[in-house]
Amino acid sequence: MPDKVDSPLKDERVTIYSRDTNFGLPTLKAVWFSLREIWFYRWLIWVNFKKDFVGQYKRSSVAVLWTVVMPIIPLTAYLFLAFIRALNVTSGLPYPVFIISGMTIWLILSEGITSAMGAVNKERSVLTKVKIPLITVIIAGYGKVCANTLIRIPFLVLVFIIFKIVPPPVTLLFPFVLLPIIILGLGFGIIFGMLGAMTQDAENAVAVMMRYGMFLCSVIFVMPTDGLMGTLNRLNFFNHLVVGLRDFLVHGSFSDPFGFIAASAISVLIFIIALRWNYSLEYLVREAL
Amino acid sequence: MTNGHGGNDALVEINGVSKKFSKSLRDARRYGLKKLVAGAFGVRDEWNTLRPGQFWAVDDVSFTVEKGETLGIIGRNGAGKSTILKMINGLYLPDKGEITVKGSVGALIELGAGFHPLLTGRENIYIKGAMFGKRKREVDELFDQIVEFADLGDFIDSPVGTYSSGMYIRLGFAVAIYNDPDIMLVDEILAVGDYKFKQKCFSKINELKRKTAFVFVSHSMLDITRFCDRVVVLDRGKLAYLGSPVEGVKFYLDEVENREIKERGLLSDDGSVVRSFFGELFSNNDKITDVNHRWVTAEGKPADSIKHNDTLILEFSFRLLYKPHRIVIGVPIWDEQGNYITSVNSDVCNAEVKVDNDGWVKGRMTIEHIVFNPGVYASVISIVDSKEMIYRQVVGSFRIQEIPFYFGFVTIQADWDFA
Repeated sequence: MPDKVDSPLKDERVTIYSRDTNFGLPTLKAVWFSLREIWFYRWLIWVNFKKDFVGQYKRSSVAVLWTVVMPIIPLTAYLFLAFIRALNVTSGLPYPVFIISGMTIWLILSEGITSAMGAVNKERSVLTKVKIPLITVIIAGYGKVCANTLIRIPFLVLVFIIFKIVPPPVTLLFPFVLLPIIILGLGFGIIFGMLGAMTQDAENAVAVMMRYGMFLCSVIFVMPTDGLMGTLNRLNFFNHLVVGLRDFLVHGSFSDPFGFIAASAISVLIFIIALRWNYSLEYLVREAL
Repeated sequence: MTNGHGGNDALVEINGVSKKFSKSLRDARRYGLKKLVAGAFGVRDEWNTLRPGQFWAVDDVSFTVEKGETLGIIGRNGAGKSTILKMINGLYLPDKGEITVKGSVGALIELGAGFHPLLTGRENIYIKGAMFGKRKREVDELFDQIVEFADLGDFIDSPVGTYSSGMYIRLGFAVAIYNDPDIMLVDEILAVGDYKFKQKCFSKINELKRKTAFVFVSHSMLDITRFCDRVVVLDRGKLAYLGSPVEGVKFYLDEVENREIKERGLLSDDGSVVRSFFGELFSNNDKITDVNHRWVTAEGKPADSIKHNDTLILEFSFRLLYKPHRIVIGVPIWDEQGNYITSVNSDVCNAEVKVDNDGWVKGRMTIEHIVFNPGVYASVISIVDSKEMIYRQVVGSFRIQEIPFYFGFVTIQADWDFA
């Protein structure tokens, strides 16, 4: 972010552009400037979010239905397998509750990354001609994911009611407990959004990771706790986030609080790294668009 | 106000700036990805050298733009004009050198950039305002002025996707100008607007000039000479000229445009044929040699800049290497926007071209009163034998000086009698 100097100008900024611009900034300063940029352009983010979100619902008369049903459709096969007892589900939860709650949480991450990549692609013409920060475009795209999550929550409540799951009142804090996975999704969204502008490989890699990642993160199955897989699962912070959030949603508590806190800390770290990269290197993305 | 060379009022200072690009998008992305990954780990890529497939789009350029100044940038396509604007706007970073920008920047770099085609003009005003970092309340305050300036009537509530290019530019310019930037960058787009709106824009620019610096890229030499205080001529990424607009335009037409034509001719298959807005240029070196031609004043001085209604003379000489049938000389003339103004022709003027025994032709074509309106004009001399073209090359340019009032292409004297 530019320094301020005494000046009679309407806008008192003095900006120096060189190859070193923003490159050598300390991480925390870059993060702080990045957050200030987000704050400065908050209205643009809101306007862009609203434009996309309203557009999505204007173009379809049953958009809410698609938002809820589309992610569930691939799960019907697993629901069927569970129904005929071909799947061993030992979470203690009715399988539809397990899988739909897991998927609602997972989508924050996976849709977040893909929507960030999509937003950079969609706004490429604007980004190369108008000086708006890349991150505003990514956050606006990510906002749609958060809004879609809010739309899915009543459906989740309905599933809970059907299966007579009564969470404790503390579960009302669930949207706040979602914060770590939201910033993780945003952090990865920024990183892959930047990479995706440079190479199609990033998009393909994300598609594969998200498709198979959910099998390793207790979205579809309960992951083993013993042996080598158990050790690997304990190191898988995505798994801790999904399991922790599902625990909180159903029981109002965490079965492995340390795991959830560690995963949250890693999420914050990834978000900080993403902000730093974005602030220092976003011009490379613009030049490649 | 200082002298325009880096004084205290300089809102933009460009110091030894260079920018390289890749010729292919694939290379651009490959190199960009390498830089991105290296940069992510705090490793600076070697940015000062060219990699295979790269070129300097802007090469060691320095100039300043001061508060209250309108600086024009001219150059052929690919000369680096838009790249400079994008660097001032912070869209691209220089690979070498430094750009200092004091104050806010408003940019009209492309027609309709940032407009959402499905949203109405009204909604887009708010979105563009947000892009300038404005709040809703601030846009509310400017809204009526913007709408009035854009003069879109009821179309303000229609989706901008239905707008004509002229309407796009009206809305874009109005939003940009009313967001009150310290520095305004305008890239060619005013060429799209209608005459009335263009005058309105220039009137607004004049109104804001006291406190705002304008950087103005244009292919219209007329606009450059009329509205700019100084001009930068870019030639293949390098700064070729910095100074007065009149001299700059002349330099551009004489040095850059003509050289480009000649160079392209050398590169063509038969060594002589080129194309430009002048049409096809040609020289049959088996039939004609020692060709000289130039525009001069009545005093015999080069006609770089002459007064409206003065005498303009084309001096020419050449030697034919064969016995011709019937030589006709034609001199088509274009204005700087490429409008074909007229052609003077020896045949139409009933002038017989005399060839001496050695094949020499030496002559003058005199236009007693040059009635063209102020501007820079370019011309070609074509020498035809019967129907066979033997020579067609650029003569060069001349400039008609400003007069208080004029309309259209020419200003002719008329006697008015009243009963």
